[in-house]
Amino acid sequence: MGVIFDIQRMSVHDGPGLRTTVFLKGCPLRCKWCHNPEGLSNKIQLRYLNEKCIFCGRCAKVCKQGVHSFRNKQHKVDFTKCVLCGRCISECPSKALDFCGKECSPKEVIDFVAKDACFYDIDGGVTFSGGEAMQQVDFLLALLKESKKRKYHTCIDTSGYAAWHDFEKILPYTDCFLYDIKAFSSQIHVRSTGVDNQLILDNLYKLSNYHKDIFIRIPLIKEYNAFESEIRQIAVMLGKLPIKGVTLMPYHVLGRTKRAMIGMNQSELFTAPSKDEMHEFKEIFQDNNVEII
Amino acid sequence: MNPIITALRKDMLLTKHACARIPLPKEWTTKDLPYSLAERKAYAIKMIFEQMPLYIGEHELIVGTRTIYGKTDETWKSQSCYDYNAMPSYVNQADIAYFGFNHEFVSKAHYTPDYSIVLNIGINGLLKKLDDQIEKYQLEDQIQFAKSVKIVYSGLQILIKRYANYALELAEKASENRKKELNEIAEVCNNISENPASNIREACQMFWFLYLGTIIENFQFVNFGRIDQMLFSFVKKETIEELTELTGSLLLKMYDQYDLILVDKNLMGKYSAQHNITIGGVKRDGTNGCNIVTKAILLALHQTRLPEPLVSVRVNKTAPDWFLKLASELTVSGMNCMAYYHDEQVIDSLNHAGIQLEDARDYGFGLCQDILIPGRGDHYCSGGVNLTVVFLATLRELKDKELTYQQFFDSYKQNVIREVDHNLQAYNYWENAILQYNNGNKTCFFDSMKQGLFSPDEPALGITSAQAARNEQDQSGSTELYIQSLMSPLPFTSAMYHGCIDNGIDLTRCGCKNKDKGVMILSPVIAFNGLAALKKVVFQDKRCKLKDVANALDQNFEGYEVLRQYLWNAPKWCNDDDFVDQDAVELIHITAKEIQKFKTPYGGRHLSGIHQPHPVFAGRTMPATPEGRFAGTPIPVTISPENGTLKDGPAGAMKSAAKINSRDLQWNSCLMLQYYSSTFGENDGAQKFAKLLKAYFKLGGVQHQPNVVDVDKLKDAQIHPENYKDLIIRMWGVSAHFVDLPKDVQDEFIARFN
Repeated sequence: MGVIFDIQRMSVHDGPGLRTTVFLKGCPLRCKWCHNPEGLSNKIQLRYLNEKCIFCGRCAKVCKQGVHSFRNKQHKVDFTKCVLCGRCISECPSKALDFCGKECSPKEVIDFVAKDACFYDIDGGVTFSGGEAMQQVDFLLALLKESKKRKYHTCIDTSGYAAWHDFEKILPYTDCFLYDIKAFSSQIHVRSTGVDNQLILDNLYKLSNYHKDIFIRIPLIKEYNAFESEIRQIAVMLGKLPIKGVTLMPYHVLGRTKRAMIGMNQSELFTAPSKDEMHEFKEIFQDNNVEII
Repeated sequence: MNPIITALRKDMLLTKHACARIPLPKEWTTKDLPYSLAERKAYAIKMIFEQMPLYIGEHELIVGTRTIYGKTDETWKSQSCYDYNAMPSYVNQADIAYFGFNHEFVSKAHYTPDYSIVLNIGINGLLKKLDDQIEKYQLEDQIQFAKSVKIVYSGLQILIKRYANYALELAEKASENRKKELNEIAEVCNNISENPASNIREACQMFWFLYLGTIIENFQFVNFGRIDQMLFSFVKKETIEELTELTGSLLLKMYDQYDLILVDKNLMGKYSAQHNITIGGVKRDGTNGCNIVTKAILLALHQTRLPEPLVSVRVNKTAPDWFLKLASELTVSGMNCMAYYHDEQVIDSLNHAGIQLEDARDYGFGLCQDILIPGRGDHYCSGGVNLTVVFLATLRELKDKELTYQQFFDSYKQNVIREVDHNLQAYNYWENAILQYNNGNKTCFFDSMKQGLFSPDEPALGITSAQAARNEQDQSGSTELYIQSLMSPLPFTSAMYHGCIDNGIDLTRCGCKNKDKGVMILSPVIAFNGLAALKKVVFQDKRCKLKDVANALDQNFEGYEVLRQYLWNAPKWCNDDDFVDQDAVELIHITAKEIQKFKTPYGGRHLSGIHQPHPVFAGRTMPATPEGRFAGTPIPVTISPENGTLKDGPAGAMKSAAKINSRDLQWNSCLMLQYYSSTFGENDGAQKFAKLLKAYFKLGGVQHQPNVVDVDKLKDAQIHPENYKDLIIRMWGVSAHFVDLPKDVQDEFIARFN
């Protein structure tokens, strides 16, 4: 069994072709700009969507822990008190409350994924993302094996921050990697994600010997990595590796609102590179013979 | 970019040709001429052909523009609610006394003729054929019909010759280059005014004149049909570039009337012709129909980029790779006027319903994407059944009973069947009266009318919500009847329908070869979602009684927000959820089966289809509904998801839609889905769209109307319309420039992304 927090059907940005993306819960990194904060904790969490709440107060009536309280048309949720009994969720008429995360067996997940197999054609398939998919490596392995049993093309979206022997486990069942590079410089990496990037870069070098399709994804945040010299160092490094290409992903604010829903503090606001800067960065990669996707 | 297309497109958007337009002179009339009604109508049309002002734009190679429009001020109210309804009066007091009603200015339009009939034999050939037929006809009505056709086509001959002379006149004062072009125009016009088209240039020009004639006769809403098939037979050694320029000129011509305005500006803000071209598919013999003209049209569309014509793309396995590739590129680039069809499935369904295989392979499109057989089968329309209206009536009828869900569902299905029977019976009375009338038994029509078996104002019942936009005009004091009538024959259009001349019967009197008719299944998705909401909230979770839901609807949910939330959050259609889909599919199946049980008096079939009414207007007249929708708010287009209920994106919607048995529907059905432009923003976006479409078809899906837009741009366009003049969106059977639309229609569209 493992914990997932979403399955996105017909995703077009998570690998080749038309795909289904399964999001596994739990992540060892704490990127300041995280777009999927609900993937950070490996536990199931209560989630509350303020826009959907009609302030009917039914949740407060059924909750024995006193999680919900209402004052002046304000619904306060004390996430720390929640024991995940689910009573408030089944009583909520507007679906303002739900569980973020679900415990599933690998077969359950892949049975759901199978609904979309008709869209895969030759290149599409299933992508495992997160959180950090490698965090639940045994569950991931089981998911991959189940996928391969059904002949799906498999892809893993990873930060690369996992033990190499874990990668070795899943390699035989993985066709393709979406591999995040957040920084070349170790200081920037530590400052922005809370961990050092040596393991990530080492794993990438090792992985590149295995003839898998590797697509690199780089989030661009002006406050951290989006400046010329840093980008150039990444480009030079990647230029020497047999990767398929790079996708540049400018910072966006989408993830911020999601934090409050699971009781996390608001994150800082960052800046995306301008159009001109994006253009400049693309050129740097192209100069190093790295294809931009 | 082709320079001619660029120049023509610019002129078209400036509507330079509008300067030639005049209102129909009030004194034009043919009602006192000593001829039959049919001939007087023909003379009225001829009068327009003979006297309509001429216009040749400075870059035009294909000429001819609609220059007469109807006046819409107070005094003309009884005649026309639209700028583009213009016809000299031809009905006299004796006609009105005879019929007991006045249908002088009515047409249901929705036609798609087979223009090749006249393209191939030429006007002289047609006139000759009519003379021969007059010798053979037995009935006075038949002779009058043939004479009426002769009158209108001799009128067209005059119009074309006038254009030839006008081109020569302009040539005298023109520059050297333009002189040559104008002389060519004159030569082309002179030839086709008498003879069959002898090359592609002449065919395009004649096609346009024939279209102009039908649109003048019908006022509006006539479609182009399979233009790639029609024009291909005239291609000789032309290059793809030459053909792209020529078809591009023709496509731009199809936007000729876009400056004309509806009286009711709320509908679209301005004119929308909604005219449809059909491309691709197979030929009548079943082999691949994609040809060099098809390719030229697709290439030209990349340059013309206008919301009209609407482009119906028949995707068949026999098609070459470039076909879907070029079409998908248009779609992902935001040309949101394309609709895709699973060709094999449509043909199978038509054929299975009893339509001859050759005709089934030759299907094309009418307005609102209704399927028809161009020039052979005129399917619009023998009636309808509004699944939501019947659902609400059933809920009211049963609200105090203690029932199981199954009992409720069964009663509902019975009510649907009763409604279908009632409405189709009424249509059949009307058609039977017409049949008798054609055979010389004229009293039957008047007797049946007196007995109240049908109303001549409303031969097709149950389609009110499809015409909601029109019905609103009743408030302004003028009604436009959208019907066929004995008082409003269509001699011009009839000549381009197989069978009319052979039988000597006008198209409006069921004269064309195939007698099949389409039946509208309306507002199904509200009913699907309503059923599921009751099943979940009332019958399964037992949160309330049927009566409570009925009361909540009466109050438009005021004071019932908690109940409304439970209903609204019950499972919904288009999410691949069998809790909803199973009953939805059964409901469509039962309805379609009942419709297909009926034959028309002429021996045609009633074909079922889920029509595409205006989501905003049809919604305005719809009270609150049990899935949690408030009264008066928009309703979804045919089988597309209700706004705000799509959880799993296109995949879920496609899987739900594909569950409907494709043989249940022949006449229309539409899965309209919205995509963020970023979805297909990467280099292989077109390829991804094509893959998605193919997968959907493989699942058994039949139709898809995609909208690829950037929602932020839509929102910005509401504030800064001047920056988004070329932004095209598809709303139902209609595409338009987003910034031209009224605010509520814009809002409905944006809400689709919620």
